Amino acid sequence: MKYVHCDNIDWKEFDNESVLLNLSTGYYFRLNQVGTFVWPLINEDHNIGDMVDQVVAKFEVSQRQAKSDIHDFIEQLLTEQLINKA
Amino acid sequence: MTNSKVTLLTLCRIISGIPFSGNKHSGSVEDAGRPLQDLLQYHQVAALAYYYRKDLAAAGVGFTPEQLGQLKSYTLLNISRVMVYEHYLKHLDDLLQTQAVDYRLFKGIVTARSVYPEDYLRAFGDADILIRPESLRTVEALLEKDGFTHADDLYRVFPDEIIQKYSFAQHFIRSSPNNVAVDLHLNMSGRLHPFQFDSDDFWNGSKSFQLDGHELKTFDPEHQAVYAIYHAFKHYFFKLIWFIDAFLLLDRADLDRSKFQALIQKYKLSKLLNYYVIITDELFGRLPVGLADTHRSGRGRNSLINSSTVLSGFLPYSPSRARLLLPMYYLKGPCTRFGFLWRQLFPPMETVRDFYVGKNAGKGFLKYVKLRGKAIADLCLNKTKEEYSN
Repeated sequence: MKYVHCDNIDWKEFDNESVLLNLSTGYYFRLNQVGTFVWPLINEDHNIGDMVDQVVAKFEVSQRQAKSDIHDFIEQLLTEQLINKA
Repeated sequence: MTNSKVTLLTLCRIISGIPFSGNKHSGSVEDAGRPLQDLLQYHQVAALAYYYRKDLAAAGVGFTPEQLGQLKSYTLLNISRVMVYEHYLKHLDDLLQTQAVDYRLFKGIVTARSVYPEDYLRAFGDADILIRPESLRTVEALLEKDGFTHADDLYRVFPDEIIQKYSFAQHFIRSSPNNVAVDLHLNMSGRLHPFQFDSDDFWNGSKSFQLDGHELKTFDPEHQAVYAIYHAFKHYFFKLIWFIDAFLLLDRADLDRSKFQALIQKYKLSKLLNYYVIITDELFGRLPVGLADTHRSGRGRNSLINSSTVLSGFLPYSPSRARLLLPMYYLKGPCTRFGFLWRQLFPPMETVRDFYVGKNAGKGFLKYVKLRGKAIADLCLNKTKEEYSN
């Protein structure tokens, strides 16, 4: 499964973290270092497996932990209408 | 000097590039005075402190990891606020253009974008817009249609004709989808303020301002600088960010110094500027380039307001007294000062009726004397329930 960023989302990176602003709902979100790394990957035609591989390569985390965290992250982004299924 | 003040002063010196050689920091950034985090937020410089954290550490002013985490959170909040306002102001520009409303955006995001290294370093909580009085109804209707309501502030108790007569700013807020506040100004200074600006001057002294492809209009650098100094005075000089604003605006290379000085003379702000120069010199260790030719460092000291009282973040007097006392320092010439004092203590009966009594309460002289007697007694006893805010 692949995903894309919703329209009306603004994103700014700052010091290894970032702010996501949903202009439709007005809510903004703070992404930690891993979330900040994953966010642009979502729009680059990667599926969850690709993202997990890239996170494992960059951060000291097990494949299993990364898969679980990214799955939760994607679920949360869907709930908050920040991404859609491609 | 407390550690908090040393931190703030060191921050000013990093901005000006002049090392601070006074009291050294004694290790912990906490001290018996106002907590540092509180003070940094009060002065609206928390994001600046985070931005310059390495320079501060090199100068001997370090933060604990917990403090750095708080400063970073504050900075991220500023970033989100800038994002919200950028988007909203582009949308508002489209709305105003459809109605052919001429306006000027100033302060806040304009200053942030014009003179700060990054726009999120200048915290702001609203968008200030100068409009022509004849556009007021149109703009109010546009904002209301766009989900804004009039803020329930002090001035809303007055009818529209009083608000327009005294040029009070109109404060609009919207909470959904984003928290946005818009201040509509009909004039650059309220009619009761001691310094009065010619708004046409500001309308004519304009320049373009780019906001992500939208070409908006703001004031030219000289009018921005003059207004920054006036604005600091209007709020009793008690936030460091206003001094940083004015310093950076006057330090920019494209400032026309003679035009700036001409505006200072025109609006009789030279004495006010002199006090600003003294405090700025103490805070930043040098004068901004825009004042370097016309003013000299290290001259005089104002016992009422100085860099130390500014940094403390506490007013040494009530706002009522400040409104009366500060102009006594900053207005030029005894006649002007006496005239202002007289107008404050004994304003026209019409003004007293407008503010305190209402139109239908009669014009009795005894009523006027009674009201003014009470106001003066309250002032002498420092009896005021006003809260200071910006």
